[in-house]
Amino acid sequence: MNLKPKTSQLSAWVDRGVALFCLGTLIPASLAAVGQFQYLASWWMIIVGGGIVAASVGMMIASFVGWKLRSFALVYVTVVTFGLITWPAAWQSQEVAQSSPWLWMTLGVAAICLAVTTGTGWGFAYAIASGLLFAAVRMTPSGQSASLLGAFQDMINLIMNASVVIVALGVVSNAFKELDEAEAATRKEATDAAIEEALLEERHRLDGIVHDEVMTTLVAAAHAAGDDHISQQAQRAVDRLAQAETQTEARLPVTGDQLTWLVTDVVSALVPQARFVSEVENLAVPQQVASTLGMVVREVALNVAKHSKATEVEVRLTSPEKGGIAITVADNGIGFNPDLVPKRRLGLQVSVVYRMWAIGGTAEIHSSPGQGTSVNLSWTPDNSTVGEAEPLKRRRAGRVLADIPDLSRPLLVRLVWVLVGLQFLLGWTSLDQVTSIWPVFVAQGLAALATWLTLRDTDRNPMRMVDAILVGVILLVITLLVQSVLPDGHWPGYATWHSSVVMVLLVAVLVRGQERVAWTGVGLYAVLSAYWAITHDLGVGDALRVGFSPFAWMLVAQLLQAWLIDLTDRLNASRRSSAAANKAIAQSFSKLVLRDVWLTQLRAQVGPLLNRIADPDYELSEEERAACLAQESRLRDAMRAGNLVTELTSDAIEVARGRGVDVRLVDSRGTRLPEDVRAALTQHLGRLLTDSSTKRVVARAAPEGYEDVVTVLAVREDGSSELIGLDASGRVSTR
Amino acid sequence: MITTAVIDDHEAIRLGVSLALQNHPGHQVTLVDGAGTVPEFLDKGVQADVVLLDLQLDDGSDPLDNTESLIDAGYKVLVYSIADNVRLLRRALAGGAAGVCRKAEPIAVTIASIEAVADGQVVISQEILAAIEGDASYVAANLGPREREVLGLYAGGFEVPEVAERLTITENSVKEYLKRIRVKYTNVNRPAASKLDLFRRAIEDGIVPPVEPHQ
Repeated sequence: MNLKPKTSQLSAWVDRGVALFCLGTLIPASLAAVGQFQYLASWWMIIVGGGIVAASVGMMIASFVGWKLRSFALVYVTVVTFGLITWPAAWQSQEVAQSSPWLWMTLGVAAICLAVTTGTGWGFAYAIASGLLFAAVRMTPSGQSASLLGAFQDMINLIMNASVVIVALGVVSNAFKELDEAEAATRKEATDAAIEEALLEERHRLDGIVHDEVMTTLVAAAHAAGDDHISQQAQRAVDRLAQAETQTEARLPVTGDQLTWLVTDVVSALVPQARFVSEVENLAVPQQVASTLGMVVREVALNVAKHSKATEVEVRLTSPEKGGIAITVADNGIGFNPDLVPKRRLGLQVSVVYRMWAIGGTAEIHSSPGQGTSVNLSWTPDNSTVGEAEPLKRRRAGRVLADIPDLSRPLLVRLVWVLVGLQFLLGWTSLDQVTSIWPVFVAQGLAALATWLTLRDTDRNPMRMVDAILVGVILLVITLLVQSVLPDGHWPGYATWHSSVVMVLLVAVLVRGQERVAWTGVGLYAVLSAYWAITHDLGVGDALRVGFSPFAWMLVAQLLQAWLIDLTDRLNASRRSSAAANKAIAQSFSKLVLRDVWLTQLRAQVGPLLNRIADPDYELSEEERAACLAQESRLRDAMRAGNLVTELTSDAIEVARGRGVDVRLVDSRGTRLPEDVRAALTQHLGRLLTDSSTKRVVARAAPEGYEDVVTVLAVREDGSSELIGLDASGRVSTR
Repeated sequence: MITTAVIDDHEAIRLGVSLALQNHPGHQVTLVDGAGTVPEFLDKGVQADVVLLDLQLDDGSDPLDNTESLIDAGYKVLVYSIADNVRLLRRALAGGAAGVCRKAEPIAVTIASIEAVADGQVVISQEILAAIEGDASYVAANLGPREREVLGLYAGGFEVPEVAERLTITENSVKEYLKRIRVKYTNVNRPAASKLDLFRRAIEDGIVPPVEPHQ
């Protein structure tokens, strides 16, 4: 278990909590230190006192600015450890100290700091080591010359307290991490679903245009060109395509998830063997940039597919700078020498480099023969584009906050048992302080009962009022019982173990929703304790120590709870607004993909032919009529069996059909084929289509549930045939 | 002489078929009329043996309804479409369409299909059988293992003789299987709403001898 959850957006809150803890510890520590200042060497006070204050303030600043907490935390730990080791040397008085070294309060904090910034193991190790060291210092005159038992008690107290906080933090941060992951997963699912739906809708609309206008025109022109009706029909097709492309509406920025989707979609259509790695969750780029990136990546993928002969292709999306995006397409193909590519051959230069320049980005192409090729595209927002992307980012920052863990969770609440048990242990080791032993054991039995009452039915929130009141009453009885056996005139040390039990259980009651009972309990307890302290000749400080520390902790818990509830409300509100935003973004995005990427391609493919048909004075040649049918077939394949073809196979199919090969694609499946199957299919189709003896090729996606996901049948001139079956992992499975 | 008509919402297509038929002399098929929707066509009361029916019409009508009303009116239906939406194709088959022909096919193929349908044959094409094969629940519930095997091979691209060779049965058996699959599909997916429907099924199942209309 590592307490520093790398993925958690809420680790910042954990950092802030720790920093607050460090700062907060300064107050009781300095109060305790007041009585010891005069005996300590000034060099020591400057180094240790100053170091602790500086590191605490530094941590606070770092946690809010967003820096790493680690260096400050390490300074804190180092200074505290140094202070503890040098304590006996810094103690300048010949007399035995009156109280325990004030440094003890910072030791537990140091262990927690270490756990949070470096790792739980280090935190535990430090707690034990510093506990041992502290026990040793305690037995020196500078440490009040404590007895072995007293030093042992302090050590146990220190180690156990630090450990409990570390475990509690671990539980919380693990809960954060789980919630973050769950949140990221649902967010991704929601985005994918919204995009899928919007794309399907838009695709159907475009398919309608393609089918009704474009394909109809091509077929009609092939059969009977030169008629006025047909040229009118062609003109309508051209108009409808142009209309579909230029519809403008408010264009929302494209998110990291969507950009990943776009790149994956564009690349996997061309290079089915590509693998994708994306680390661009919190990103928003303008649509125009996303659209250009889509086209550029498409060019790069086309080059990989045409020339590289690569077996492995990795596409990586990262965000190296705030708001920026870097896309790397790396293959293990044959590579080329960029210096040897003639300058006249513009290819990559125009389609990749200049396009990236146009949006203010850069493109680098690294390659050498036999070493594969790697293309790095990067784009960083300049000032004018930042403004556009900013509002979305702010909204998303709110959105990625995970749920606040519910403090009434059984695991967290059960830690209460550990805390209470620890107090029992301290009570037993202080039995020499009390005037009578049996009330202590009775009180501990009652405390166990109260703990059980507090923790039962943890699924229920708030807890039963009766239980809460019963817990309160039992705690007051425990207080009276323990107080009745405490000695007069001096502080009885850990014999006042009940104070911590009262605090822990009342905080638990508060967290479980019975706030009034908890506050009434803590008030009555303070009155009882104050009365005891006054009637037993104890100072004001001791009265505060036993009476008001539960009160102070209750206040902290109450504030924390209020803060968590507020945070949860804000989180829910931002979630609701993001659901609507998600849908709008998805629709906008689907239009981007279809208009800018697919439609551009479609227009480039059929535009010139349609324009010629639309011209009433132009007479189509025999080749052009054949081209009409070839284009129609291509569109038909894409519409009916898009599952089976990539752009490259479409080219090969067109060429093969031109040679007179009968190519048929049948999709009885409907749903998307696994990538491995697509890759294998592309490879086999490519081979069969370029074989000059092939006469007929039928590729079929079988209905779901068939053993062979895809079958490819090739019949040769001599009548022999070859049937290839591909299983779900793309392996040739039959014959 | 076989008479035919085209129902297609694109005038360019109606025109294209007409021109293509004129430019292809020596055949037995004459185009007599055309219309944009089925009700419009039925209103005209055209005398035609075979109707070429587009799957997607401007009025958004269901191919099943269209096919049924045309068959009820005594026409034989050949689906004539571009990028056959499999679902629409299945609807048309369920309505009793005798076959399917793609618009992009050479006109000679279209003419041959029209002639076959006019002759009362059921046109068996890979297109149709692949559409049936994709209806997985139907295949699982209604076809025997041998029928499935034949269907799989045929939809996978093998021609009838090749299927016969693979399964070591005669070509006629293969054709018989394919026809039976096709007819079974039509029957199972056709709601028997009227007496006419029941009668039609009985004819297809061979219980009642067919009555040739318009002779």
